[in-house]
Amino acid sequence: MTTNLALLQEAMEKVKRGESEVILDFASLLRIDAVGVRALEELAALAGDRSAKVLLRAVNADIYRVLKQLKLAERFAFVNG
Amino acid sequence: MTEDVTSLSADRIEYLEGLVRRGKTAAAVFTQFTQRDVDAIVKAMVLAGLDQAQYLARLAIEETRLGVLEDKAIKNMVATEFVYNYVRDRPSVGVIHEFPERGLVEVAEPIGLIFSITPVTNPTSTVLFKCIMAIKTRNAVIFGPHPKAWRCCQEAIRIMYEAAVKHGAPEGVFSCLESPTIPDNKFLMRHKDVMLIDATGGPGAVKAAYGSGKPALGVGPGNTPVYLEKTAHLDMAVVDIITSKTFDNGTICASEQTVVIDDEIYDLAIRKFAELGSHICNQKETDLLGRTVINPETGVMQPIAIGQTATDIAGVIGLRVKPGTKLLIAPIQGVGPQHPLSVEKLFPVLAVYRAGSTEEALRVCVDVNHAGGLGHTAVIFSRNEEIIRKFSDVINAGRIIVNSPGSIGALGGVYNDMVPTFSFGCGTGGGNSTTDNVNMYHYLNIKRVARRTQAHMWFRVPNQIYFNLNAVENLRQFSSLSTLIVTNPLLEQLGHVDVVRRSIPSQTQVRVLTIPDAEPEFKVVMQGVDALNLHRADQIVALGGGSVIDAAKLMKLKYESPSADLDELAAPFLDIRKRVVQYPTEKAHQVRLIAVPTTSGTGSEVTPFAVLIDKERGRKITLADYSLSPDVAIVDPQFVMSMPKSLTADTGIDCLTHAFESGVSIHASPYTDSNAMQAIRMVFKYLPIAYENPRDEEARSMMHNAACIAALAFSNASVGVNHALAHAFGARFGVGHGKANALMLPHVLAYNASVPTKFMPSPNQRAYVAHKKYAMVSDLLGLGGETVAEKVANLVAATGQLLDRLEIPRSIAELGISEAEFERAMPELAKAAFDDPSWRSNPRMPLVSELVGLFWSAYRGRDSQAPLTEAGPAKEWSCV
Repeated sequence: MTTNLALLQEAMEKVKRGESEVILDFASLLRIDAVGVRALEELAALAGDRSAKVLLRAVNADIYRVLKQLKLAERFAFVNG
Repeated sequence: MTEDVTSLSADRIEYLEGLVRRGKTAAAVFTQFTQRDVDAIVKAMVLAGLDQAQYLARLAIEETRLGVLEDKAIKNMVATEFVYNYVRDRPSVGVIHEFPERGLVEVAEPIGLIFSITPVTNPTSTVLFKCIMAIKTRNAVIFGPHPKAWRCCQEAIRIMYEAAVKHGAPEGVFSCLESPTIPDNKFLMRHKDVMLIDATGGPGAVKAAYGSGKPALGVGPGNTPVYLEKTAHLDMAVVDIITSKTFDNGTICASEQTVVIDDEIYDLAIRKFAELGSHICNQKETDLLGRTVINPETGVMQPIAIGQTATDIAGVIGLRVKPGTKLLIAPIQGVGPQHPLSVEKLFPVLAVYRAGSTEEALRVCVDVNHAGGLGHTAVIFSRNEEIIRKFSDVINAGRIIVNSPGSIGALGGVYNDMVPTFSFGCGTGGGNSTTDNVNMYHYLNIKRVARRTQAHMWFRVPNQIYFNLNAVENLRQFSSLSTLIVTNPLLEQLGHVDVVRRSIPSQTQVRVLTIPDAEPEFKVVMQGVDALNLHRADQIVALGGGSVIDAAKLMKLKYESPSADLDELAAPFLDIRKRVVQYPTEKAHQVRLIAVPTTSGTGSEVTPFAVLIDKERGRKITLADYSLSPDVAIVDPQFVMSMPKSLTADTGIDCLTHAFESGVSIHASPYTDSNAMQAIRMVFKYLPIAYENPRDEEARSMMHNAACIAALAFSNASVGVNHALAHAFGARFGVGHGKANALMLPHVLAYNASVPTKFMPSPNQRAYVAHKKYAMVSDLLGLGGETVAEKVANLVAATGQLLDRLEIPRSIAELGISEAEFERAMPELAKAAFDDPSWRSNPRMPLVSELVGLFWSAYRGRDSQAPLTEAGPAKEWSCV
């Protein structure tokens, strides 16, 4: 499957509510699309503003490469699945 | 208005940054796509492009007012259908090429975001082509069309984009600059997120692309010379040239510009051009054309003429031509500023030149080629292969089109099997990075996955080896009309020559050449060659030690191949399979070389080596090639029974050193290991006996065999640092080879057994195993010990004990060389040892400082061996 926007939205809401750490599970995600990239950019920006930490769990190598190429990887923490 | 990026407004910059952001994201997302994904998208795009080919052609004509509608439609179809035909079955994702026999795999890596400039002359076809290439290779593109072709290009991009996204391509994969300007181009060319510039356009755009400091594909202007040679199929040539030069009104930069015609067919060719609708200009008309369609100040074509019809151009300048005239043909008498029509003309005006000879024709074609067309395209019509080849040699063009139209031929895939393209690389002649027809592979980074390969190894030995007492009698089986025995005076005195002579069949004419008992000089080799020639010898029997056998090897080489240059053949090499020089294979004579050794050490009777001394230049020349190996070796101990004790010891230790060094060499193999191991075992057992009881036949025989067996190992695995040290030390202080080896041996064993400062690159070895191999030898000799280190220590000690038993000095100091003298000699010794090729197969790469350390260890003797390193248990002898 590609980007699950609902999950991203949920994560945004958690950050907005003041949660200091949010985990996003990428385990079932095979690919990320441009919409997902934009949502992650927004999430990273929001988390930066609120000093929240966003952890991406079980990110596969293909998606990690996309995030790395777009210099998004350094804005998240990664945890194993 | 300034053309610098500083003229860009903040809004414009934000707009451009937005395009880059979208493209960059699309390119990143695209990296996740599979081959199947991109192939499906490409197919959909191609179908959409084909469907809209005529529509886009019409848009292009309406906007640019250049070219021919029907031809533009064909170009759009070539750019889709023909390009698809090329890319369809070619992998562009993941593994794209495999070379299993070389252990190599090529893997595609997309480039990312590309900024692509497209021209006014071929606007929509170039866009279609580049879109297909980009999707096939998973790249995103921002297009910067020529301002005068922007709308048609934008439409072509829209059609491609919609088809692509509909079939899954990432959003933002293509975008087109709105109202593009030069500052826009410059901004994008220098943008950090633009990874490649693909500039198909005029010289300014190409120059800017290359000047941006970014990787760039640029194409250049052309000026296509055509040689219409007298053997050409004239009807075909004339039709092809007219077809090509009128195609899209000559807007393809590969189209013909000046046709150089052989005098013999000139008039006929011109008549045929005229018959098929060309107007042949007279001198006055040619001058008028030159003044009007070429800018007299810049010497380049007037834009107003580009892509117009012949009749339109004629009408504008007041030239009377028949209605429907296809081409204006203008005879010129030379190339250069005085002949304005000799430059590129992207319209249906063709210069022609009458050449009085082939040489003249080629010269004029070269002139045209150098008048603005370097690296681009050239055309020849000829049936003379030699002239086609000559033309290809002297013309600098990425595409040399033979017997077919230049413009359509250069596009590829129609008249020939070149790669279909709409971008012609012009190489360095055109200031470009490639001469290729730009294609999908230029839109890829190609990663090479190189697997470790094992070089083919070998075990090469003489055909026949006879051994044991009286083995010399085997000489009887070798028929020969004329045999030359090469030996030294002492062996003749000892009666050995008579023994050999008696074993040679009686019908054979036998002559004896005695040479000094020393490393042979070139003049000695040539004495032998003279004797061989004089007696028309068909067989050489080399009876002697290493020097005699080496001399005989070189005599054979020079006798069989008189032009062989021994100096050149001695050129250094790292890998015998890749060496620069080749030993001669053509032989004036075929002669059999039979080696009968009279010492038990060098093993020269089976080795591919020969050493020559060059006294004039004070150096030794070592030759190495398996063609030097004797054909037959006869290892008969009767010839060593009278060896003096010291020679027995020295040669025996030489043999032991050969075995130890080949055993741990980086070229060692199971084949050489078995010989090395056996030789070591025999030396430890029989050398002390042979030394202490010289008449012991068994010990002498075993040592004679051991020397030969060790040589079989080092002939194929080579030696190591011990020999490098011994060569340097022996030469400097006049110490015999065996003794010099002995002085170094315990120290080198300890050195190789410890962890290297530098490992020797050795693709055939999987691990550093020298210490384990020494431990295996230790076990073989029953020396005891639990760990590898203990076993190696026991082996070093046992070697020392052997040397003691042989009464060999255990330190250089014992030879009477003062420490001060040795210190003074050290720089020279270190250099000589480092220059010696022997260490190149040593398992441990010696640093110069380590060579110095080893020399000093050898100087001080038994108590100064390098410390051993604890390592794992010995598991295997063979390292392969």
